[in-house]
Amino acid sequence: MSTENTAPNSSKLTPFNLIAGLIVIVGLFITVLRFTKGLGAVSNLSNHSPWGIWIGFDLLVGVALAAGGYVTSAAVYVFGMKRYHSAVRPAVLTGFLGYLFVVIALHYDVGRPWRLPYPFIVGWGTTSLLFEVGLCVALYLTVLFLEFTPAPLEWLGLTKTRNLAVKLTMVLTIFGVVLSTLHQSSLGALFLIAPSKLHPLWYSPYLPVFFFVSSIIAGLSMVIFEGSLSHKAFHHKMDATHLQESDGLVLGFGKAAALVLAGYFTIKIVGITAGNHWHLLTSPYGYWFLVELLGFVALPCLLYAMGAREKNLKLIRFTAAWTVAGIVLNRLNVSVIAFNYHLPVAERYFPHWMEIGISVFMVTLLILVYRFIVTRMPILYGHPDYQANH
Amino acid sequence: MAISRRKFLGWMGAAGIGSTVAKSAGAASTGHFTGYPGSMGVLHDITRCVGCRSCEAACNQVNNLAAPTKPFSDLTVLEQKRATTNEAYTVVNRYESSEPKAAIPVFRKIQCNHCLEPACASVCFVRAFKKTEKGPVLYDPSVCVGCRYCMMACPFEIPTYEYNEPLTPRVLKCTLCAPRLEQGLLPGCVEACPKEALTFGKRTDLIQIARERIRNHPGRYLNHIYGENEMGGTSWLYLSSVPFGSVGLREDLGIKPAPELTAGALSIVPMVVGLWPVLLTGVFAMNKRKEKIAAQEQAQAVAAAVAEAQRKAQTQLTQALDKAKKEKDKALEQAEKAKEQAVKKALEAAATATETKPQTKGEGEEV
Amino acid sequence: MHSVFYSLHEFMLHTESLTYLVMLISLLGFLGFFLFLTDRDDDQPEDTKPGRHGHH
Repeated sequence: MSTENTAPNSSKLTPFNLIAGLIVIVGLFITVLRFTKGLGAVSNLSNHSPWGIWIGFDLLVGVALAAGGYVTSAAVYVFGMKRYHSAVRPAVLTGFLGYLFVVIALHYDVGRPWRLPYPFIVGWGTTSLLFEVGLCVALYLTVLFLEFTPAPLEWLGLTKTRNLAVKLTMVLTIFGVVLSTLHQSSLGALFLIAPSKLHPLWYSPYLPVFFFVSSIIAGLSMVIFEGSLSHKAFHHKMDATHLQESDGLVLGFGKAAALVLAGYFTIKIVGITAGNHWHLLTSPYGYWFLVELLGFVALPCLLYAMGAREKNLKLIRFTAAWTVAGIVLNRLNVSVIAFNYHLPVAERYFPHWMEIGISVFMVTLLILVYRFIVTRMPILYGHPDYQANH
Repeated sequence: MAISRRKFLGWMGAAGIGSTVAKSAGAASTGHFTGYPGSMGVLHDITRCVGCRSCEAACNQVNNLAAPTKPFSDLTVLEQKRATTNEAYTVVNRYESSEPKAAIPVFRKIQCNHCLEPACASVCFVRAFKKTEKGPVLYDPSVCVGCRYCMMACPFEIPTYEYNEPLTPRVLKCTLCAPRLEQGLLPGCVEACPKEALTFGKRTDLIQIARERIRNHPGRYLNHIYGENEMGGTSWLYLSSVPFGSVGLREDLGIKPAPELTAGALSIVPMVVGLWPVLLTGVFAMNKRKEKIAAQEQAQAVAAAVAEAQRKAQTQLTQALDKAKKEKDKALEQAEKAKEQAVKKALEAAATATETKPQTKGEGEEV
Repeated sequence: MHSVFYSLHEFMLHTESLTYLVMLISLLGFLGFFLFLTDRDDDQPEDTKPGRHGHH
């Protein structure tokens, strides 16, 4: 992505564009295969492992990493941290695109994607946590879209509609936090139904709480991580306010992430204690659990704290990337790696290359759309005509 | 006393299974649920099963499934542990047990257990699964989205999926031959079993029969009816001579019905909806108030500073005026003095001039 | 309407469906109530001035 900042208008044949183009071609090829030959032709899913990385990565990781939208808008509008205002728009945009591509990726995974609205039309399976997740994701996607609309409306010069959208900010923010709390936690609660299949170190009645708290960590880290990527690629698109506020944002969010990670570490320990699973820590799965808990929860907590104390922005940015990797690891552990732990190795799931291909395709499309938008709309800078509102 | 399946068939015909289930009062209320009264089930006596695969063949036939690559008479397939597939709703597996008293090997039939509180129905967000009053857990493909959460949830790993259907995949599993029950027929597998290892009947009666068998043959059976309480109870019940774990039936499932596993998480949802807006608007209002007070204080400070500046300016002005007045007075005084001096000088000068006047006049007159 | 529930699932389906209705109504109700509660706050001169951040 760093190739972007050199000359955005000269050559379109940058290495990034070439690789992205290749991924898109392969992605389209797999798409055709999926919808003509079925899931069996492009995935290693089986009757015992009906959910693979399209759920574990595209849905669980996607939703967790898109938490930046609700975390940032809550921090700025509800908790009054106005000095981070310039971070709201990029975070809301990433959140919106994140959820959009989660929903698009789901179309590959479910059997009959055109029936995705069925739960709310003919189904009403209200005892299902997936019903709750679906309802919240559908509503939250709408909320994020409305939160995002001021940017394109400013771009198009539709002042009246834009002012109406801005007026809704507070209601949308609070509704967004309610919806996010619900579906972030319910994604963890999806696995509560299968205590016999998920390894006890990861299975816990607290799963929804773990997922919700770690989504805050994911949101904070993702804003920092994505900010540092954007700085490399779109520096020329950022205005003075954005550049000026960004260092403070990295420090503030780093400090907040350290705090939340400390809380998360505590409740994970509570989880082991409440389940009486200490003895499992000396098994292979236990070592793996410790890698996650110590390497990707305790360690980043400490690194964030050091970074915040020493005002070391570089360390905080590195820790943000590390924490994001930890979130990916956690979600994959719950949904794929520690799931079906009781099955013999030969029957375990490992993703087909085409499953990975679609996941990479989705991420690539997301980056391309993000780039299209930030190079055109007032995301990383305040629109000159609407400065009073920033 | 062992009641044969034929006897049960008779009972069933007499009762007319369709009409036995009535929604009458006196059944469970909100506290404890005991399932539909009079719902049917099957008792599988593992000690009687010989692994002949007759049930598999019958199942294949009554459900019009695709013919397998190896015929049902081929018992070599028992070499491998098999699971249900979308072309075989039931399979029989052979287990070599180390139990001394067991007849070796042991065979166990696998199919949907038709839970009293099915996990698949609990997690389905379109209600594609339904526990029917007669016992079968049935699937409705006309609403299914194909999310496969039912397969994730099933503790017995029974539902299967048509992974090679690109656009219309279904979830497939045993139906307890619900269509045959409607016609007053036995499930295909039960009818086909040559060893009476399968007994069809009312679940409550089957539990009585199983208890009786255990009591009459304590050396032959373990004192446990698998499915009586597992996951809240299942319509299929199992009797065995060897630990159920050794014939592929998990013993760690617990007796909690599936919906209870998610009831807690579901109950938090309305609490969040009810209280989060209160908390968040509260925090928001407090911050807004803080900002307002800060703004007011700032305004007051500004006003005070302005007043102070004005007062200072006023003082300076007054002082300056005073000073100016004093200076003016002084200047006037000085001017007065200067005037007086000038007059004095002028007078003196005039006096001097008067003294010298005659001389000049005289000179002038001479011209 | 069921008056007798034979299974926990049936019972939860009933109560959860009602709960979703309650949640919908409570969210709308809360919004209305909050507006009712804070309606007159805006009479004070500070708030009628255009806010620096353009939202309230």
